[in-house]
This record gives sequence, structure tokens and C-alpha cells, in this order.
Amino acid sequence: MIELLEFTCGRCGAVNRLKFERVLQMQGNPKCGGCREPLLRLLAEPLNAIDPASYTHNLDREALEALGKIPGIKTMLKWLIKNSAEASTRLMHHASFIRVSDKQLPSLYKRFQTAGDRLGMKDLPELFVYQGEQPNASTFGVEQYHVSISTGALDLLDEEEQLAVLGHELGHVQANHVLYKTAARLFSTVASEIAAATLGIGRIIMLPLGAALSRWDRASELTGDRAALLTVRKPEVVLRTLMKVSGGSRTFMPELSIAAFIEQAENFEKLRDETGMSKLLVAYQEVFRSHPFPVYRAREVLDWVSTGAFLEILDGEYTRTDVARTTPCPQCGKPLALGAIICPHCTYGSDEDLKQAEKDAESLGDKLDKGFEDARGWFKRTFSGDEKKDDGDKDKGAQ
Amino acid sequence: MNGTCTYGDYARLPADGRRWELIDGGLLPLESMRPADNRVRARLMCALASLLPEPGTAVILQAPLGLILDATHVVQPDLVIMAAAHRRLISERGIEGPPDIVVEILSQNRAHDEVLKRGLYEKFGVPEYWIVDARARCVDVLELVEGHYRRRAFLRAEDTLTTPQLDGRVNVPLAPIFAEF
Repeated sequence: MIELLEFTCGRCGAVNRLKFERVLQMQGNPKCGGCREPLLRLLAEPLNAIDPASYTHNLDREALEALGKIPGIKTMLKWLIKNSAEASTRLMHHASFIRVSDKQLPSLYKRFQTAGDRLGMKDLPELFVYQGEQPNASTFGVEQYHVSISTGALDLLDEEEQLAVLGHELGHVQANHVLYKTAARLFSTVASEIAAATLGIGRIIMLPLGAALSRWDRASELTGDRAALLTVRKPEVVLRTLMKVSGGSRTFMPELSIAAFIEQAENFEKLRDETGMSKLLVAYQEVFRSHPFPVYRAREVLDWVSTGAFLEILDGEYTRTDVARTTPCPQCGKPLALGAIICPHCTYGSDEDLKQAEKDAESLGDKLDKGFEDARGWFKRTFSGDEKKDDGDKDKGAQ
Repeated sequence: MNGTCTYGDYARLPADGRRWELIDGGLLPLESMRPADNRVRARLMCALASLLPEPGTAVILQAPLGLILDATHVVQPDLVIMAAAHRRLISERGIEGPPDIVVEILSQNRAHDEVLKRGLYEKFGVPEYWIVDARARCVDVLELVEGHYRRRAFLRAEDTLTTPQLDGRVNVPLAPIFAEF
């Protein structure tokens, strides 16, 4: 593990050398050695309009790309949306779990709101608590999302750790993971149903899809952990949560050592390097079907913090969703929706659209010309001698 | 984001000082570079230029500069390095095809460099991609292995930047690159 983390002050440009241990604890906002101002400008603020791509783990992105290339994924997702498992699972949640609100478990609800606030989220999904020994939380849904957390998790974890878990789940929501997560979880049922219906042929098609889904499912946890970091803003809390989830006994709680757990994560990296990281990981990912190992996740958390990205985001260095939505039109400079084909103000657009616009303009010109022609005709007819003749004829006719 | 603009549209953009990138056929405005980031780029460029003297060894170019990956992808990397043997890629319009190394100095819009451009350089087969973080004073050295970027090294101010590309001539101690004023 590195000892010092270098971080340039965004105000005065002075390079600060922060003890990594203290960055992990993050007790209060460190002061810049140059200007004496707080170093992290958003440490106590919501990360408004943060684009989740700012904290997406690369394995997550790669696995999702690979998933998109598997034939059948779109059909399956469509099936999922159509047969929306949502209605039934949602009903099940409402029927058997406790729905958390400002009237039910208000302190937990407040924590949930705090987590949403820190991640700059405006709309929160529903939150449920269910009876279960296993400390766990998950997010479900196709169109309407709901987060559920087990009583085991609530009993085992303290307030900050619960905040980390809630932030992790909200990270899945913010990063648009939920549909795929739901797919991953429902997959085993779907696969066996299809296999049964097609006498096992479906199974062959579904296998690579299942593997890709579950691989992505685990990779997405790494992104979730980063969201947890950005929610509690104290890396040690996230590490402690992972430690407790992997082997936290209530009886031995006072003896649990975060330092020893970090050391274990460090050693895991050595082990990982010695044995050839990628092969080992891929092999284990195939074997372990649920979450990736907590120790591996802890290592990834430490790694991300040590790159400085965590501090930078807490100082406002992140991609914003509200800034990129419009871009000034390259021709007239007025705001233009991103990806818009043609500028409504000055009709700037692509080749085809320019041609179309020219055609439209031509036909409009033709119409105008025709209009003028008609008007001219009418004028002639009304006021010239020919017209009078006409009128005379008409008069005759009328007589 | 899926726009319908092509290189033709990109080339027709008015020369009003604003810089754009064409990604997936959509035009994205580029932020101007922060002075501290610019300083790091200038120092890195000087260090590289002294190790790779022109003419003959390599070509180093810096934005504004169009890296034309295909008809709907034109980006403006902060630095581009290519071996002299690959200088055929340089045309009147810019660079036509993946160079040996692309360097980006991380901006506030971090996902642009870390996600969007990483994905692009990976897809179009740029063998090495260095992401330089001037604030945290580190360099993420990514190399293309079987079509995917893998971190070859994560370097801090006390480390030295090297690469197997360009006959192994690159050997840049990072301390002076990241030094304060």
C-alpha cells in the first residue's frame, strides 16, 4: 500500500502530501498546506448531476459491452420487460416485506435519503426491509425500482455502514444497472423454463448468455462499491462493511481489525499477481456464482482511492450530466440538444439533412412561386382588360 | 449518443476558436485546457522530443489536431506519438488511423477520457494509451492486450515512464514533469 497520496489543491495549485491512512479514515476535510482552505470542496456537499460514468469500473464497462454482443440478450430483456416480473416481485415485496418511509423506520428512511442526496439523486426508488439472517441488500425492477435490505444487514452494520450499503444499491440505480441485475437474477428461472420448453436446446443458447450476465453482475458490484465510497466518503467504512459481510461475527466484533483486513487485501493482490491475475479471476468468477469475493472488492476499493480519483470527485472533478446535455450549435452558437440532427435556429445539420433542407426549401420556393403566379393571374384577371372582357362575358351570361 | 454527422460536417465547422470532437457521429465540444494541465503536457512533450529527436525517430504532435479514426470518429488527443515508420498516417487533414501512443491529460470531464475515449482507442486499436492525471500526479499506462486495455503500470511522480514502443527509447522521469512552479 502506498503511504502518501499526492493531491494538488484546486484553489491554489499547491501539492499536498496526504497520509494514505488518513485518507482512508477521512476524519474531517483536510486543509491545503498552501492556502489553508479545505482541500475537498464537495466533501460535505451532494454530488449534483454526477454522470455515473465518472466512477464506473472498467471491468463493469467491458463486461457490459461483451454482454451487449451476445446474441439473444435483447430478446431476453424484451421478454423480461413484456412479462414484467416486476409486477409480481413488487407485489411480493409489498405483501411480505416492510416498506420503509418517513412513517415506517424513519431513521433508516432518513439514511436512505442521505445516501440519495450525497449521490445527487432526485428520485429515490422504494426501500423494503425483509427478514433474513444473511447480511444482504439488492435492487430489483424493470421500470420501477425497489431496494431491499435484510434484517441481518441492519443488525450487523452500524449507521455509517448501512449508509454504505444503501449508497452501493443506489449506485446500481444511478448507473442504470437494475434492468440487467434483474435479468441476471431471474435468469436461472428463465433459462430452465426455456430449456424445458425446447427440450434442452434453449439451454445451449442460454449458457453463454448466463455466463456473460453473471460475469457482468459481479463486475457491476465494483462500480456499486465506488458509489458506496462516494456516499459515506470514508473508505474505511466501506472496507469495514466488506469485512463484516465476509466474516463479521457479532460475538467477536470488538476484535475485528480493519488494518489486518487491509493487509489481507494487499496479500490477496500479491497472490493474484503470482498466480496470474486475469486467469485466476476469470476462473473464480465462473465458479462463484453470487457476489465477487469481499477481499477482492476491498482491494479494488483501496486501488481506486490510491489513484486519487476518489479525492478528485469529492473536489468536483467529475463528468456532469447537466452540462453535456446541450452543446452550442457549431454554426450559430445557440444551445443544441446533444445528438440533435439539425439546429432549429439556423438549420445547421448533417449532409443528408442539408440536402433534405435544400429540397424542402426548393419545394417551398416552388410553392411560393406558384403562389405568386396564382396571385399574378388573379391580379391580371381582376384588373387588366382581359379580365374586364371576362367580366363582361359573365355579365352577359348572368343576363 | 448517436448523431448523424460525418467527417464532412466536422471539416465544415466554422473556425471560431472552438474545438470539437466527432464521436459516434455526434459533435462534442471540447473544454479548453487548464493551465496546470497544459504545463504538464508541455513538459512531457519536451521530454519526449529530446528522447525522440526529429527527423528520423518519431513524430510527436499535439492538439489542436484531428485524429481521424473513421468517418464518424474524429478526436483531438492532447498528445500523439508515432514511430517514424508510421508517419504515412499523417495527411493534410490530420492523422488517419491509430498512432502508436495517445496521451490524454485528465480534465474535469473525466469520463470523457477514462470511459469514452478509452473505449474508442481500444476499439480502433491504439497500442498504448496514457492517461495523465496532473492533479493526483500519476500516469495510468494502458496497453492493448488481445483487444482490451490492461494497465501495464500505474506511475507516480517518483517513477519513470517507459514503453516497449518506439524501440524502448522513452525513459522519462516523472518528477520534473509533475514539479510545482
